[in-house]
Amino acid sequence: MRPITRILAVVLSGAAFAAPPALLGAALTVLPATAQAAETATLKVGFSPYRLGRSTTLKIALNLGVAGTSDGLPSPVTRFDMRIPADMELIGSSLGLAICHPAALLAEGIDGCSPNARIGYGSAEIKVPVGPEAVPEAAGIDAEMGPPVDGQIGVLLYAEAGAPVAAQLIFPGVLSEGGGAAGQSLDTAVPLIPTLPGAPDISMVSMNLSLGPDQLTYYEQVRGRTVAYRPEGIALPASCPRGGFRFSSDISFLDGSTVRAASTVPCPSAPRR
Amino acid sequence: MGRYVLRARGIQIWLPLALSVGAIACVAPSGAAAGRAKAVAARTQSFNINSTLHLIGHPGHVLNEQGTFSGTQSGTIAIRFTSVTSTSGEATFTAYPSGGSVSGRTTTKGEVVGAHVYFSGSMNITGGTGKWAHASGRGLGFSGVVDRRSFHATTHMTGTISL
Repeated sequence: MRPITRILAVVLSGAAFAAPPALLGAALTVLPATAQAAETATLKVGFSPYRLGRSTTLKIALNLGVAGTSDGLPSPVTRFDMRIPADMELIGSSLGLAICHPAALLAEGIDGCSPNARIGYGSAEIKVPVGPEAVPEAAGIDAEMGPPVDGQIGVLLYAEAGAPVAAQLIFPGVLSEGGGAAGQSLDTAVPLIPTLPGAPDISMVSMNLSLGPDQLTYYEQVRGRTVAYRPEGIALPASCPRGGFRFSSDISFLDGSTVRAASTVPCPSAPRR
Repeated sequence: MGRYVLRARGIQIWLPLALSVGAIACVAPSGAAAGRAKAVAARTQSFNINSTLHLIGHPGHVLNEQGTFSGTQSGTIAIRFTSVTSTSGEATFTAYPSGGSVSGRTTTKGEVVGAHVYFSGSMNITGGTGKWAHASGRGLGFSGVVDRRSFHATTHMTGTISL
């Protein structure tokens, strides 16, 4: 499944990009180096609330960087493959009761899809390599239940950014069965986000994603009335797997490198008596 | 004359015997087949039922469902969906038709389409109680759908059970 990108505008004036026009030409030739950098990735996963046997929301935080530097610009991400422990199945939740179609999402934004298709939300920090410095930009993310892909669950991550690059992006993902301890994986293609001709693509430096009922509201018809309710999230198993809940993610970059990041949610401590 | 009589008697003696033997020869196999058919018919039972179920407890990786079924038999049924994933699943069930219970195990492939999880696969009968105490069967059909809004499920089981 190919990613879908619609760049609405690249705004190179105003507060978002303050370089004087006279410097712009020179600035564009001094671009942040992204090629062949040794990318690093850290993954942090948590549950909210964390009660075994009960519905929860997955809190996922991914940070990307370049080894040896604190503000290095990683190569653009092209793929994000996250493995989720067995026994944590979307199927056992009531998340994603409706299907959001990419065309509707792109045409009307989040309003183009039923609220009952939403399975999570989040944000990403991207850096726009324009001039000698990379300009930071925030993008909002919505996670939607997409159409099935070859019999697997389709997940759409919809990102919307404002300035300096105004863009709507759909990261199509597939939630597929992984087998073994990694019960399933969410494999997401990340589109390249171009800026100016000749300039590097936008780099993502962090992403926070919340998958679950936290702050979600669904609607149903009860005796002719529309009633709001909170959906059931992914249920944690009744017992904690040995060593905790292990998550890992392979992040592929445009320069061809792949970095693996892992996070373990430890088992809850036994209640004191 | 006497020779004829004797012959005639011989014929009279042997003809009925031959006819009897022939008759036995002709009848015996069909009688045995009928007996076998009767025996086979007595040892198998068509099992085509539709179930409607509702969730017991909380939804999750394991779904415990209970409900009723109707069809060639009717009664109550409990299905425990285990290892339910987006594309495959396993379940065990116990149905309570008239005269006892029937238990089995299923493996299915599935597909999630929005609120619905469609699944189909095969089912083996693993045992029973009462008149179903010796129930067995392999490769019976099992299909259904789970509605994730309510976690109500409908299933269809079809095949022949040996008793």
